[in-house]
Amino acid sequence: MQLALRDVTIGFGDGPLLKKVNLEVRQGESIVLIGPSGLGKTVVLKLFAGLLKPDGGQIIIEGRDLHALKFREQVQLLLKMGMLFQKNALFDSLTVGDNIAFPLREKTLLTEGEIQDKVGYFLEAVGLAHARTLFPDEISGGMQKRLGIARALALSPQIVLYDDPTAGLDPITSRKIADLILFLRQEHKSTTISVTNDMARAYQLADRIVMVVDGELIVTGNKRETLAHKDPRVSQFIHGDLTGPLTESLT
Amino acid sequence: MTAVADFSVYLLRSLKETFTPPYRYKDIMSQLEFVSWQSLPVILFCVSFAAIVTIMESSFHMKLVVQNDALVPGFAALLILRELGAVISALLLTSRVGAGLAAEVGSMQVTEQIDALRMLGIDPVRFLVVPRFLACIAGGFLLSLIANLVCLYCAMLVSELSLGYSPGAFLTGMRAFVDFQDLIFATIKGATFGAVIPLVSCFFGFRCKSGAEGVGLATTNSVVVSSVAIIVLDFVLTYIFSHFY
Repeated sequence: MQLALRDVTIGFGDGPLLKKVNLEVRQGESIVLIGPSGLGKTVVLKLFAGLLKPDGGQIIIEGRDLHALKFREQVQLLLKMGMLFQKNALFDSLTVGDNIAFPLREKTLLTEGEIQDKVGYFLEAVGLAHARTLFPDEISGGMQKRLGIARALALSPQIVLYDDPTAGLDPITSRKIADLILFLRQEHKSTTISVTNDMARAYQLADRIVMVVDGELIVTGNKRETLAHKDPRVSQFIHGDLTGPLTESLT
Repeated sequence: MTAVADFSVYLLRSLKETFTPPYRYKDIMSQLEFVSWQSLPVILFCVSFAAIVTIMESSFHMKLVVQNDALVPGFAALLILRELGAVISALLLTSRVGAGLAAEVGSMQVTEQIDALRMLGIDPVRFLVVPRFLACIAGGFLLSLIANLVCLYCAMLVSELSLGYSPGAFLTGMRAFVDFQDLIFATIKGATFGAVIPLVSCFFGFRCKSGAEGVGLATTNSVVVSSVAIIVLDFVLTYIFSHFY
Protein backbone atom coordinates (compact mmCIF):
# COMPACT_ATOMS: atom_id res chain seq x y z
CA MET A 1 0.00 0.00 0.00
CA GLN A 2 1.48 3.33 -1.10
CA LEU A 3 -1.30 5.78 -0.25
CA ALA A 4 -4.20 5.61 2.16
CA LEU A 5 -6.96 7.63 3.76
CA ARG A 6 -7.79 6.34 7.23
CA ASP A 7 -11.05 7.45 8.85
CA VAL A 8 -10.70 10.83 7.18
CA THR A 9 -13.30 13.48 7.90
CA ILE A 10 -13.30 16.95 6.37
CA GLY A 11 -15.89 19.69 5.95
CA PHE A 12 -16.15 23.34 4.95
CA GLY A 13 -18.83 24.84 7.16
CA ASP A 14 -22.01 23.00 6.16
CA GLY A 15 -21.25 19.71 7.90
CA PRO A 16 -18.68 17.15 6.81
CA LEU A 17 -18.07 16.66 3.09
CA LEU A 18 -16.29 13.36 3.72
CA LYS A 19 -17.23 11.28 6.76
CA LYS A 20 -14.64 8.84 8.15
CA VAL A 21 -13.69 7.59 4.71
CA ASN A 22 -11.06 4.95 4.01
CA LEU A 23 -9.18 4.21 0.81
CA GLU A 24 -6.02 2.26 0.06
CA VAL A 25 -4.02 2.66 -3.14
CA ARG A 26 -1.37 0.10 -4.08
CA GLN A 27 1.95 0.94 -5.70
CA GLY A 28 1.59 1.25 -9.49
CA GLU A 29 -2.20 1.23 -9.31
CA SER A 30 -4.44 3.63 -11.22
CA ILE A 31 -7.47 4.85 -9.30
CA VAL A 32 -10.16 7.02 -10.91
CA LEU A 33 -12.50 9.07 -8.74
CA ILE A 34 -15.96 9.74 -10.14
CA GLY A 35 -19.06 11.31 -8.64
CA PRO A 36 -21.42 14.28 -8.76
CA SER A 37 -19.81 17.74 -8.80
CA GLY A 38 -19.05 19.43 -5.51
CA LEU A 39 -19.12 16.27 -3.40
CA GLY A 40 -15.41 15.95 -2.72
CA LYS A 41 -13.43 14.37 -5.58
CA THR A 42 -10.93 17.22 -5.79
CA VAL A 43 -10.87 17.35 -1.98
CA VAL A 44 -9.63 13.72 -1.92
CA LEU A 45 -6.81 14.67 -4.32
CA LYS A 46 -5.90 17.75 -2.30
CA LEU A 47 -5.86 15.69 0.91
CA PHE A 48 -3.32 13.33 -0.66
CA ALA A 49 -1.36 16.31 -1.98
CA GLY A 50 -1.15 17.86 1.51
CA LEU A 51 -2.97 20.97 0.30
CA LEU A 52 -5.84 20.35 2.73
CA LYS A 53 -5.65 19.11 6.28
CA PRO A 54 -8.38 16.72 7.43
CA ASP A 55 -10.55 17.56 10.44
CA GLY A 56 -10.00 13.98 11.58
CA GLY A 57 -8.20 10.81 10.48
CA GLN A 58 -4.87 10.21 8.79
CA ILE A 59 -3.36 10.66 5.34
CA ILE A 60 -0.81 7.89 4.87
CA ILE A 61 1.88 8.20 2.23
CA GLU A 62 4.40 5.38 1.99
CA GLY A 63 3.46 4.22 5.45
CA ARG A 64 3.90 7.61 7.12
CA ASP A 65 1.19 9.86 8.54
CA LEU A 66 1.62 13.03 6.48
CA HIS A 67 0.41 15.48 9.12
CA ALA A 68 2.40 13.90 11.93
CA LEU A 69 5.63 14.74 10.11
CA LYS A 70 7.77 17.85 10.48
CA PHE A 71 7.44 20.44 7.69
CA ARG A 72 10.73 19.46 6.01
CA GLU A 73 9.81 15.76 6.06
CA GLN A 74 6.39 16.60 4.63
CA VAL A 75 8.04 18.53 1.79
CA GLN A 76 10.38 15.62 1.04
CA LEU A 77 7.42 13.23 0.92
CA LEU A 78 5.29 15.54 -1.20
CA LEU A 79 8.12 15.95 -3.71
CA LYS A 80 7.43 12.34 -4.62
CA MET A 81 4.10 13.55 -5.99
CA GLY A 82 3.13 15.52 -9.04
CA MET A 83 -0.25 17.06 -9.68
CA LEU A 84 -2.17 18.28 -12.67
CA PHE A 85 -4.59 20.90 -11.38
CA GLN A 86 -8.16 21.37 -12.57
CA LYS A 87 -7.30 24.82 -13.99
CA ASN A 88 -3.79 23.62 -14.94
CA ALA A 89 -2.16 26.18 -12.56
CA LEU A 90 0.48 27.04 -15.13
CA PHE A 91 2.80 29.90 -14.24
CA ASP A 92 1.57 32.48 -16.71
CA SER A 93 4.66 34.67 -16.46
CA LEU A 94 6.87 31.77 -17.63
CA THR A 95 7.14 30.26 -21.10
CA VAL A 96 6.06 26.69 -21.84
CA GLY A 97 9.67 25.52 -21.54
CA ASP A 98 10.28 27.46 -18.34
CA ASN A 99 7.12 26.04 -16.74
CA ILE A 100 8.74 22.60 -16.97
CA ALA A 101 12.20 23.91 -16.10
CA PHE A 102 10.92 25.73 -12.99
CA PRO A 103 10.63 22.70 -10.65
CA LEU A 104 13.93 21.36 -11.98
CA ARG A 105 15.69 24.66 -11.26
CA GLU A 106 14.12 24.93 -7.82
CA LYS A 107 14.39 21.38 -6.58
CA THR A 108 17.34 19.69 -8.31
CA LEU A 109 21.06 20.31 -8.64
CA LEU A 110 21.03 19.77 -12.41
CA THR A 111 23.02 22.12 -14.62
CA GLU A 112 21.13 24.43 -16.98
CA GLY A 113 22.17 22.21 -19.90
CA GLU A 114 20.79 19.09 -18.20
CA ILE A 115 17.60 20.97 -17.34
CA GLN A 116 17.13 22.02 -20.96
CA ASP A 117 17.66 18.40 -22.07
CA LYS A 118 14.97 17.23 -19.63
CA VAL A 119 12.62 20.00 -20.75
CA GLY A 120 13.17 18.88 -24.35
CA TYR A 121 12.40 15.26 -23.43
CA PHE A 122 9.13 16.15 -21.67
CA LEU A 123 8.05 18.56 -24.43
CA GLU A 124 8.62 15.79 -26.98
CA ALA A 125 6.71 13.31 -24.79
CA VAL A 126 3.62 15.55 -24.61
CA GLY A 127 3.93 16.83 -28.19
CA LEU A 128 4.73 20.45 -27.36
CA ALA A 129 8.28 20.75 -28.68
CA HIS A 130 7.17 23.43 -31.16
CA ALA A 131 5.63 25.59 -28.39
CA ARG A 132 8.69 25.82 -26.14
CA THR A 133 9.01 29.62 -26.25
CA LEU A 134 5.30 30.44 -26.17
CA PHE A 135 3.46 31.56 -23.04
CA PRO A 136 0.61 29.48 -21.56
CA ASP A 137 -2.08 31.91 -22.71
CA GLU A 138 -0.80 31.58 -26.29
CA ILE A 139 -1.58 27.85 -26.52
CA SER A 140 -4.88 25.93 -26.68
CA GLY A 141 -6.71 24.32 -23.73
CA GLY A 142 -5.57 20.83 -24.77
CA MET A 143 -1.96 21.99 -25.04
CA GLN A 144 -2.23 23.62 -21.61
CA LYS A 145 -3.40 20.29 -20.17
CA ARG A 146 -0.45 18.52 -21.78
CA LEU A 147 1.91 21.18 -20.43
CA GLY A 148 0.39 20.75 -16.96
CA ILE A 149 1.02 17.01 -17.22
CA ALA A 150 4.60 17.56 -18.34
CA ARG A 151 5.25 19.93 -15.42
CA ALA A 152 3.64 17.49 -12.97
CA LEU A 153 6.05 14.80 -14.20
CA ALA A 154 9.16 17.00 -14.34
CA LEU A 155 10.56 15.77 -11.02
CA SER A 156 9.80 12.13 -11.98
CA PRO A 157 7.25 11.65 -9.17
CA GLN A 158 6.25 8.17 -8.04
CA ILE A 159 2.66 9.32 -7.51
CA VAL A 160 0.74 11.51 -9.96
CA LEU A 161 -2.59 13.17 -9.22
CA TYR A 162 -4.72 14.29 -12.17
CA ASP A 163 -7.61 16.62 -11.42
CA ASP A 164 -10.08 16.41 -14.31
CA PRO A 165 -7.43 16.02 -17.03
CA THR A 166 -9.97 15.97 -19.86
CA ALA A 167 -12.36 18.69 -18.64
CA GLY A 168 -13.53 21.00 -21.40
CA LEU A 169 -11.71 19.11 -24.16
CA ASP A 170 -13.20 17.63 -27.32
CA PRO A 171 -13.50 13.80 -27.43
CA ILE A 172 -10.45 13.33 -29.66
CA THR A 173 -8.20 15.54 -27.52
CA SER A 174 -9.60 13.83 -24.39
CA ARG A 175 -8.62 10.47 -25.83
CA LYS A 176 -5.14 11.75 -26.66
CA ILE A 177 -4.70 13.07 -23.10
CA ALA A 178 -5.85 9.76 -21.61
CA ASP A 179 -3.49 7.85 -23.92
CA LEU A 180 -0.69 10.19 -22.84
CA ILE A 181 -1.46 9.57 -19.15
CA LEU A 182 -1.39 5.80 -19.72
CA PHE A 183 1.84 6.00 -21.73
CA LEU A 184 3.57 8.14 -19.09
CA ARG A 185 2.31 5.87 -16.32
CA GLN A 186 3.92 2.87 -18.02
CA GLU A 187 7.07 4.83 -18.81
CA HIS A 188 7.55 6.13 -15.24
CA LYS A 189 5.89 3.18 -13.44
CA SER A 190 3.94 5.66 -11.32
CA THR A 191 0.86 5.32 -9.16
CA THR A 192 -1.95 7.57 -10.42
CA ILE A 193 -5.15 8.95 -8.98
CA SER A 194 -7.37 10.77 -11.45
CA VAL A 195 -10.62 12.65 -11.16
CA THR A 196 -12.98 12.57 -14.09
CA ASN A 197 -16.66 12.37 -14.87
CA ASP A 198 -16.00 11.28 -18.44
CA MET A 199 -16.91 7.59 -18.03
CA ALA A 200 -15.20 6.48 -21.25
CA ARG A 201 -11.92 7.96 -20.00
CA ALA A 202 -12.56 6.60 -16.49
CA TYR A 203 -12.87 3.05 -17.87
CA GLN A 204 -9.79 3.60 -20.03
CA LEU A 205 -7.60 4.86 -17.17
CA ALA A 206 -8.77 2.93 -14.12
CA ASP A 207 -7.60 -0.25 -12.46
CA ARG A 208 -10.26 0.58 -9.89
CA ILE A 209 -13.01 3.19 -9.91
CA VAL A 210 -14.07 4.92 -6.70
CA MET A 211 -17.26 6.93 -6.48
CA VAL A 212 -17.35 9.92 -4.11
CA VAL A 213 -20.93 10.54 -2.96
CA ASP A 214 -22.85 11.44 0.22
CA GLY A 215 -19.62 11.76 2.18
CA GLU A 216 -18.62 8.17 1.34
CA LEU A 217 -16.10 6.53 -0.97
CA ILE A 218 -17.65 3.59 -2.82
CA VAL A 219 -15.02 1.36 -4.41
CA THR A 220 -16.81 0.04 -7.48
CA GLY A 221 -13.92 -1.90 -9.02
CA ASN A 222 -12.88 -2.15 -12.66
CA LYS A 223 -15.07 -1.37 -15.69
CA ARG A 224 -16.97 -4.70 -15.61
CA GLU A 225 -17.51 -4.55 -11.84
CA THR A 226 -18.57 -0.91 -11.98
CA LEU A 227 -21.12 -1.56 -14.73
CA ALA A 228 -22.55 -4.43 -12.67
CA HIS A 229 -22.47 -2.55 -9.35
CA LYS A 230 -25.58 -3.01 -7.20
CA ASP A 231 -25.64 0.45 -5.53
CA PRO A 232 -28.41 2.45 -7.27
CA ARG A 233 -26.36 5.68 -6.92
CA VAL A 234 -23.49 4.16 -8.89
CA SER A 235 -25.85 2.79 -11.50
CA GLN A 236 -27.65 6.13 -11.91
CA PHE A 237 -24.40 8.07 -12.15
CA ILE A 238 -22.63 5.92 -14.72
CA HIS A 239 -25.73 5.73 -16.92
CA GLY A 240 -26.58 9.40 -16.46
CA ASP A 241 -30.18 8.71 -15.46
CA LEU A 242 -32.23 11.78 -14.54
CA THR A 243 -34.24 9.99 -11.87
CA GLY A 244 -32.88 8.04 -8.93
CA PRO A 245 -31.37 8.44 -5.46
CA LEU A 246 -28.70 10.92 -6.61
CA THR A 247 -31.30 13.33 -7.99
CA GLU A 248 -33.18 13.19 -4.70
CA SER A 249 -30.10 13.69 -2.53
CA LEU A 250 -28.74 16.53 -4.71
CA THR A 251 -32.05 18.40 -4.68
CA MET B 1 -10.86 39.04 14.52
CA THR B 2 -9.96 35.93 12.51
CA ALA B 3 -8.39 38.13 9.84
CA VAL B 4 -6.30 39.95 12.47
CA ALA B 5 -5.14 36.63 13.96
CA ASP B 6 -4.35 35.28 10.48
CA PHE B 7 -2.44 38.44 9.62
CA SER B 8 -0.42 38.21 12.85
CA VAL B 9 0.60 34.62 12.07
CA TYR B 10 1.39 35.55 8.46
CA LEU B 11 3.40 38.61 9.58
CA LEU B 12 5.53 36.54 11.97
CA ARG B 13 6.13 33.92 9.26
CA SER B 14 7.09 36.59 6.75
CA LEU B 15 9.53 38.20 9.17
CA LYS B 16 11.04 34.83 10.07
CA GLU B 17 11.53 33.96 6.39
CA THR B 18 12.96 37.43 5.72
CA PHE B 19 15.75 36.82 8.19
CA THR B 20 16.45 33.31 6.89
CA PRO B 21 18.95 33.10 4.02
CA PRO B 22 19.49 32.26 1.21
CA TYR B 23 17.84 35.10 -0.68
CA ARG B 24 16.55 35.21 -4.25
CA TYR B 25 18.71 38.16 -5.31
CA LYS B 26 17.53 38.09 -8.92
CA ASP B 27 13.88 38.32 -7.83
CA ILE B 28 14.68 41.07 -5.32
CA MET B 29 16.45 43.14 -7.99
CA SER B 30 13.67 42.72 -10.54
CA GLN B 31 11.09 43.69 -7.90
CA LEU B 32 13.23 46.66 -6.87
CA GLU B 33 13.31 47.81 -10.48
CA PHE B 34 9.49 47.49 -10.64
CA VAL B 35 8.94 49.20 -7.29
CA SER B 36 11.40 52.06 -7.55
CA TRP B 37 12.52 52.77 -11.12
CA GLN B 38 9.11 52.24 -12.71
CA SER B 39 7.33 54.21 -9.95
CA LEU B 40 9.76 57.12 -10.04
CA PRO B 41 8.15 59.19 -12.86
CA VAL B 42 4.65 59.26 -11.36
CA ILE B 43 5.99 59.95 -7.85
CA LEU B 44 8.25 62.79 -9.01
CA PHE B 45 5.44 64.29 -11.07
CA CYS B 46 3.05 64.26 -8.11
CA VAL B 47 5.48 65.50 -5.44
CA SER B 48 6.52 68.34 -7.74
CA PHE B 49 2.95 69.57 -7.87
CA ALA B 50 2.61 69.02 -4.12
CA ALA B 51 5.64 71.34 -3.68
CA ILE B 52 4.09 74.03 -5.88
CA VAL B 53 0.79 73.89 -3.98
CA THR B 54 2.61 73.96 -0.62
CA ILE B 55 4.55 77.10 -1.53
CA MET B 56 1.58 78.91 -3.08
CA GLU B 57 -0.80 78.10 -0.24
CA SER B 58 1.72 78.90 2.52
CA SER B 59 2.55 82.21 0.92
CA PHE B 60 -1.10 83.14 0.40
CA HIS B 61 -2.12 82.41 3.99
CA MET B 62 0.96 83.94 5.61
CA LYS B 63 0.45 87.12 3.68
CA LEU B 64 -3.20 87.10 4.73
CA VAL B 65 -2.50 86.55 8.43
CA VAL B 66 0.88 88.16 9.16
CA GLN B 67 1.28 90.27 5.98
CA ASN B 68 4.67 88.65 5.38
CA ASP B 69 5.75 85.40 3.70
CA ALA B 70 9.37 85.37 4.85
CA LEU B 71 8.87 82.11 6.71
CA VAL B 72 7.49 80.28 3.66
CA PRO B 73 10.75 78.46 2.72
CA GLY B 74 11.16 77.13 6.24
CA PHE B 75 7.56 76.06 6.69
CA ALA B 76 7.42 74.49 3.25
CA ALA B 77 10.63 72.52 3.84
CA LEU B 78 9.35 71.41 7.23
CA LEU B 79 6.07 70.21 5.76
CA ILE B 80 7.77 68.50 2.84
CA LEU B 81 10.46 66.68 4.83
CA ARG B 82 8.34 65.68 7.78
CA GLU B 83 5.15 64.68 5.94
CA LEU B 84 4.56 65.26 2.26
CA GLY B 85 7.59 63.62 0.65
CA ALA B 86 7.31 60.28 2.42
CA VAL B 87 3.52 60.06 2.72
CA ILE B 88 2.66 61.06 -0.86
CA SER B 89 5.31 58.67 -2.20
CA ALA B 90 3.98 55.84 -0.04
CA LEU B 91 0.34 56.41 -0.99
CA LEU B 92 1.26 56.50 -4.69
CA LEU B 93 3.32 53.36 -4.21
CA THR B 94 0.31 51.71 -2.58
CA SER B 95 -1.95 52.46 -5.51
CA ARG B 96 0.61 51.40 -8.07
CA VAL B 97 2.62 48.57 -6.49
CA GLY B 98 0.22 47.41 -3.75
CA ALA B 99 -2.73 47.05 -6.11
CA GLY B 100 -0.54 45.22 -8.61
CA LEU B 101 0.79 42.80 -6.00
CA ALA B 102 -2.65 42.00 -4.60
CA ALA B 103 -3.98 41.36 -8.12
CA GLU B 104 -0.94 39.25 -9.06
CA VAL B 105 -0.99 37.07 -5.94
CA GLY B 106 -4.81 36.97 -5.97
CA SER B 107 -4.96 35.68 -9.52
CA MET B 108 -2.23 33.15 -8.68
CA GLN B 109 -4.42 32.02 -5.78
CA VAL B 110 -7.60 31.59 -7.83
CA THR B 111 -5.80 29.83 -10.70
CA GLU B 112 -4.20 27.40 -8.19
CA GLN B 113 -0.66 28.59 -8.96
CA ILE B 114 -0.07 29.01 -5.22
CA ASP B 115 -1.12 25.38 -4.68
CA ALA B 116 1.20 24.39 -7.53
CA LEU B 117 4.09 26.10 -5.71
CA ARG B 118 3.22 24.21 -2.52
CA MET B 119 3.13 20.94 -4.46
CA LEU B 120 6.66 21.69 -5.63
CA GLY B 121 7.75 22.11 -2.02
CA ILE B 122 8.10 25.89 -2.44
CA ASP B 123 6.87 28.06 0.41
CA PRO B 124 4.72 30.81 -1.21
CA VAL B 125 5.61 33.28 1.56
CA ARG B 126 9.30 32.74 1.00
CA PHE B 127 8.96 32.73 -2.79
CA LEU B 128 6.52 35.60 -3.27
CA VAL B 129 6.48 37.80 -0.16
CA VAL B 130 10.12 37.96 0.93
CA PRO B 131 11.62 39.34 -2.34
CA ARG B 132 8.79 41.91 -2.61
CA PHE B 133 9.10 42.84 1.06
CA LEU B 134 12.85 43.49 0.81
CA ALA B 135 12.47 45.30 -2.53
CA CYS B 136 9.72 47.55 -1.17
CA ILE B 137 11.76 48.46 1.94
CA ALA B 138 14.71 49.46 -0.25
CA GLY B 139 12.40 51.08 -2.83
CA GLY B 140 10.49 53.01 -0.16
CA PHE B 141 13.78 54.29 1.26
CA LEU B 142 15.16 55.37 -2.13
CA LEU B 143 11.90 56.86 -3.40
CA SER B 144 11.38 58.82 -0.21
CA LEU B 145 14.92 60.22 -0.43
CA ILE B 146 14.60 61.20 -4.09
CA ALA B 147 11.02 62.48 -3.72
CA ASN B 148 11.99 64.73 -0.79
CA LEU B 149 14.98 66.17 -2.62
CA VAL B 150 13.00 66.79 -5.81
CA CYS B 151 10.11 68.23 -3.82
CA LEU B 152 12.47 70.66 -2.05
CA TYR B 153 14.06 71.61 -5.38
CA CYS B 154 10.64 72.35 -6.89
CA ALA B 155 9.68 74.37 -3.83
CA MET B 156 12.88 76.37 -4.22
CA LEU B 157 12.20 76.91 -7.92
CA VAL B 158 8.63 78.09 -7.33
CA SER B 159 9.78 80.33 -4.51
CA GLU B 160 12.20 82.00 -6.86
CA LEU B 161 9.83 82.28 -9.81
CA SER B 162 6.66 83.35 -8.04
CA LEU B 163 7.75 84.78 -4.68
CA GLY B 164 11.13 86.22 -5.64
CA TYR B 165 13.28 84.32 -3.11
CA SER B 166 16.74 83.51 -4.43
CA PRO B 167 17.98 79.92 -3.97
CA GLY B 168 20.35 81.19 -1.30
CA ALA B 169 17.54 82.92 0.60
CA PHE B 170 15.38 79.81 0.32
CA LEU B 171 18.15 77.56 1.69
CA THR B 172 18.91 79.96 4.52
CA GLY B 173 15.21 80.10 5.44
CA MET B 174 15.00 76.35 5.18
CA ARG B 175 18.04 75.71 7.41
CA ALA B 176 16.37 77.65 10.23
CA PHE B 177 13.60 75.04 10.37
CA VAL B 178 15.02 71.71 9.21
CA ASP B 179 18.32 69.87 9.17
CA PHE B 180 19.83 66.64 7.88
CA GLN B 181 18.14 64.62 10.61
CA ASP B 182 14.73 65.40 9.04
CA LEU B 183 15.85 63.82 5.78
CA ILE B 184 17.02 60.72 7.67
CA PHE B 185 13.66 60.44 9.43
CA ALA B 186 11.85 60.91 6.11
CA THR B 187 13.73 58.00 4.57
CA ILE B 188 13.05 55.83 7.64
CA LYS B 189 9.36 56.63 7.17
CA GLY B 190 9.65 55.75 3.48
CA ALA B 191 11.25 52.38 4.23
CA THR B 192 8.63 51.59 6.91
CA PHE B 193 5.73 52.51 4.63
CA GLY B 194 7.37 50.47 1.88
CA ALA B 195 7.44 47.43 4.18
CA VAL B 196 3.71 47.69 4.86
CA ILE B 197 2.66 47.62 1.20
CA PRO B 198 3.78 44.10 0.13
CA LEU B 199 2.85 42.54 3.48
CA VAL B 200 -0.74 43.81 3.30
CA SER B 201 -1.11 43.30 -0.46
CA CYS B 202 0.16 39.72 -0.51
CA PHE B 203 -1.96 38.90 2.55
CA PHE B 204 -5.13 39.95 0.72
CA GLY B 205 -3.88 38.18 -2.40
CA PHE B 206 -3.49 34.90 -0.50
CA ARG B 207 -7.03 35.25 0.92
CA CYS B 208 -8.51 36.06 -2.48
CA LYS B 209 -11.85 34.38 -3.26
CA SER B 210 -12.33 32.94 -6.74
CA GLY B 211 -13.54 34.96 -9.71
CA ALA B 212 -12.88 38.41 -11.11
CA GLU B 213 -14.89 39.92 -8.25
CA GLY B 214 -12.67 38.19 -5.71
CA VAL B 215 -9.49 39.57 -7.29
CA GLY B 216 -11.08 43.04 -7.48
CA LEU B 217 -12.08 42.91 -3.82
CA ALA B 218 -8.62 41.73 -2.75
CA THR B 219 -7.07 44.62 -4.68
CA THR B 220 -9.45 47.21 -3.22
CA ASN B 221 -9.01 45.91 0.32
CA SER B 222 -5.24 45.87 0.01
CA VAL B 223 -5.11 49.50 -1.17
CA VAL B 224 -7.53 50.70 1.52
CA VAL B 225 -5.86 48.82 4.39
CA SER B 226 -2.34 49.76 3.22
CA SER B 227 -3.33 53.45 2.97
CA VAL B 228 -4.91 53.44 6.43
CA ALA B 229 -1.90 51.60 7.87
CA ILE B 230 0.46 54.18 6.32
CA ILE B 231 -1.51 57.09 7.80
CA VAL B 232 -1.58 55.44 11.26
CA LEU B 233 2.12 54.53 11.07
CA ASP B 234 2.90 58.08 10.01
CA PHE B 235 1.30 59.29 13.23
CA VAL B 236 3.23 56.72 15.31
CA LEU B 237 6.58 57.52 13.67
CA THR B 238 6.00 61.28 13.86
CA TYR B 239 5.29 60.91 17.57
CA ILE B 240 8.45 58.84 18.10
CA PHE B 241 10.63 61.20 16.03
CA SER B 242 9.25 64.23 17.90
CA HIS B 243 11.32 63.09 20.90
CA PHE B 244 14.51 63.59 18.90
CA TYR B 245 13.95 67.18 17.76
